[in-house]
Parts: sequence; structure tokens; C-alpha cells
Amino acid sequence: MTGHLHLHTPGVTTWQDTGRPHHRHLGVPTSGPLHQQRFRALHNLLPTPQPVWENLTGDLHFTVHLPAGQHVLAALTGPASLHTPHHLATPANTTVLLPAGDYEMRRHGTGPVYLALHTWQPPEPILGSVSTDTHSRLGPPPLAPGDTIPLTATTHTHHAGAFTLPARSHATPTLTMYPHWREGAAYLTGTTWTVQSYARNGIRLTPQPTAPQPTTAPAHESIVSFPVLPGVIQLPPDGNPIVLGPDSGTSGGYPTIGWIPPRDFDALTDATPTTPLTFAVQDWDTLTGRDQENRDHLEPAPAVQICAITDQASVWP
Amino acid sequence: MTTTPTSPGGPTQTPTVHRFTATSALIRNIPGPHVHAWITKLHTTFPTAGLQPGLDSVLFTHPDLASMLTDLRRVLHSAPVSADHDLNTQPSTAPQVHTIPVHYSGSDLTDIAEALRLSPEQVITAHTTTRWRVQTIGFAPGFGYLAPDPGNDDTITRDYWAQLPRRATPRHHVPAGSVAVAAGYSAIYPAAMPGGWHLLGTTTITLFDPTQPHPSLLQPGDHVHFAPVEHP
Repeated sequence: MTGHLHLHTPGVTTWQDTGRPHHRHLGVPTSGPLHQQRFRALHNLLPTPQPVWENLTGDLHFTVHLPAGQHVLAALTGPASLHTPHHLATPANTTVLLPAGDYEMRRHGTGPVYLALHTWQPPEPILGSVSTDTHSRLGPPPLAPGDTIPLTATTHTHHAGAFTLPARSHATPTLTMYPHWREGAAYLTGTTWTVQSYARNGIRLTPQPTAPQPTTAPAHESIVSFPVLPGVIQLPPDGNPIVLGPDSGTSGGYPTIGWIPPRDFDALTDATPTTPLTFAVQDWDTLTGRDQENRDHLEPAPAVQICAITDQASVWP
Repeated sequence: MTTTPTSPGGPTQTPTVHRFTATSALIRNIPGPHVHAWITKLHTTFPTAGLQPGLDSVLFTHPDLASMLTDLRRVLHSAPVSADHDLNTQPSTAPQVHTIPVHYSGSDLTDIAEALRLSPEQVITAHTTTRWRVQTIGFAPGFGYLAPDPGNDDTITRDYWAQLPRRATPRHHVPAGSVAVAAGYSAIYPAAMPGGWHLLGTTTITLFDPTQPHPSLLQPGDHVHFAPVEHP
């Protein structure tokens, strides 16, 4: 190790990697990133995949300690930018070489933001992953003021430096849903929803106040707990659907309405309490590789050279 | 002990396959005691598939699910599990017996007693004299769904404990080690988390240790006996 990062202000931030998808038979949630596309874009920006910081709210303030003349490669995706005390900004979806100094990651929108440094030393993995599982408390705790992360200065000077990510969601996102239950799907598609609460284990919806109120939630026979997965929509007795997130429990006893694919779940994670949301039912027979693999919309931008932040010059065109 | 398709797990049913996500299908209508026998059988036929148990279901996950559905349905319809596949007959999964010390001071003990028309002392006696069996693991790491064992006498059945549904409003925070009952099952919360079951008491037993080769103390098929202790 040649240096370290000292975290002053963490916002609401956790470590994430690809999670623990192979331990679900033990009741272990998958965990991993909320926003698959930004997470994978960040990996594509770095020479090798790194565990990342997933920030959900709040700005970050940290100090990089490195010997003079050395740098560490950083990458950022999502609605935020990286700033020095002199207000030099690095936009999102890019890489940048950071020398020693103070930095702020400033948010300018809602939704998950991902930041990684190449190479930093994350906490020890638990069951093969450093992901923070907010449901069952596996993995490291959320980041806290005073946390120190060991760093190795990078030797990389050339790497694909930017991606074009798709524009943010439409004003009224219509989310694709593959149905489990006809009456439940009709209930969900019958009105406009908005986000009531937002957490890594699930996003709870409520009818938009100005929209036609939904019919009474459909009754469902009592069911015993069965396995569930991220992206599945549960309907509790109070009629407010819950779209399960990566930290959700591995089984549940509420009926499930259907499943939304990762790209639509990504759009949902950008929603605010005022964003109107509607759902459109898709037939399972129309399921495409796009929904299955979520490989869409990762279009490399024209290659840009990695830029180093200095104290003297504006480094970003 | 062996089970057959006509054992107390319920009458023989044909499992049904339901699309669940792009890469997973939910297999339902499996008698509870046969769930892990089916997992063993499906693993033999589809060794690269992910298999996650439920109480009467199995979640089957594979990247090429669409091309496997026909074969999956064929296997489910042509080969019901037999005693040979029951988890309790396999030496490698010989069931363990766990005695769990419980300090019966749960915040719902009085409410449970009222719902069952018993005194709190009678509730504790009923819980400690019920012989429980781990039906499956799910919801959280090491969280075992404990069902009354078919070997219990006629008065202590799943129906007896099923008089208690889940709480109408789940708690945001259930302390780690909470011993609970709901919907015919008992369970121990391995960590602090939200939960909708009724709290009987607490235990200090560690249920999940991710540093161990077998992280979960409880395994499907294991037997659990709760023993009252005066101090947590």
C-alpha cells in the first residue's frame, strides 16, 4: 500500500460488489448494486473490477493521502460529480487520476451513485462478497466518518475513459412488468404510483394523490412463505406494493404481482416521492434478451484520455 | 424416519411450474416434507441450476431457463420423489437435535396467551413440549422455519400454533435471538431485522456464522427442542 483514503463525510454509502447470489439456499440475500447499469459501467471504466461505494443520499468528502507525484485512478457513475477545493469538476461516467488532496463528491440528482478507486483495499469479504447487506447485517457496516481505506497508486495511464449512459428516466416512467397474478397485475396497472419509501431491501409504492385511486386491493388466499427475488413485486394487505431490492429477504409470505426486469428496476431507483410511475404488463412469451441480460444502453463514447487533476489548471474540457 | 408421497406432508400433488423472473421458475404444490427431497432430485438432473427452497415450493434458477422448461416439467411429472430421496434417509444429511435455551420474556407472550386462551405459563409449556422440525431455511441467513413434528401428540399440531397469524403490523426491529411463533411455525431471528411474528422470548444461541464451513446451525430435517431458562 502506498497511501490511504480518509473519509470525512460518508452520506448514506455502502460497499457493494456482485453480491452473494450463490448462498440464497441458506437464506442469504443477494445484495450487490441497486442500479445494475451504473455499477457495470463503473466496472467497464476501470482496468479491473473493484468493489465500489454505492451512495444513495448525501455528498461525500474525503482526503486522498499519497506520496508526491503519485496518483490513483478514480471512476464515477450516476448523478454526481467530483470536485477539488478549487472547484475543478470531474463529470460522472468518466475516470480521472487523483493526486493527494481533498475531494468532494457532490450529488445533483436522485438515484444511486457509484464511486471506485483503482486500486483500493476493501474490507474482508464475507461469503465471498464485500457487499453490505442491510437486511441481515452481513458484510461491512455502512461507511462512517473516520473510515480509512488503504490505497495503491495506479500505474495505469491509458484506459477507456468514458461511457455514454442513457438519459435519465422519462417524467412518467412506465415500467415493464411480467405478471404472476392476473388480478394483482390489473390492480397495479390501474393507477399511477409514486415512491412511499426507498431502501435497499425494497421500494414501497403508494398511489399518487392526484391519480385515480386504485380499486380495493384484490383478495388472495392465504399463502405460505415461498422464495422471492429482487425485482419481484409483493402486495401486502394494505395495498401498497413493494418492489423487492437486492437486500430483500429470500422468502416472503405476501402474494406477488409480477417481476420487473433490471433495466426497469434501475429506472425505479431514480424515482423520487413525486415521480409518477405506471406499469405495463408484458407477456412472458415476449421476454427478450434485453430484459433478460440487461446489456442495453452501454454505448462507449469516443475515447478520452485520462486526465489528472492538478491544482493549477482546469483539467476537464 | 421416512416419508412417502402420502405421508403427513399432505396428499400427493402434481408440482406446477410458474415463470417467476427471466431466469427462474417457481415450482409449487410440493408437500412440505418433500421439498428438500425434490431439491436433491432436481440437482441430480440439473446440476448447474440454482435451487432455493420454500415451505411448499422450490425456486429453480438457470441462465437458460427458457430452453429447460420442457425438461423441467417432464421431470416433475414423471418422477415423484420417493422415500429414497427423503433427506432424513441420507447419511450425509443425518438430522441433528438442537436444544435451544430460551428466556421466555417476549413482549407478545401475554397477547399470545390471550389468543390461544391459555395462561402465559401454559404457552411456555406448549412451546417447550412441542417437538419442532426444521422444514426449510429462508428469509434471512440461518432463519429456520420450524414446524411441529408429525410425531407430536394430537393436541400439539401445526393447526394449534396456526391459530396465531402473523402480526397485522410488522415490527421494524426485532432483536437478534428473538424466539417467535406465527402461522403454524416457530422461528429464531438470527439477527436484528424487521419481522411480523409474535415474540415469545430470547436465546443467545448463534444461528449463523459465515466464517464456518457450514454457516447455518439449523439444517432442513433437524429437530429442535426449546428449553426454558431463567436468565437470558
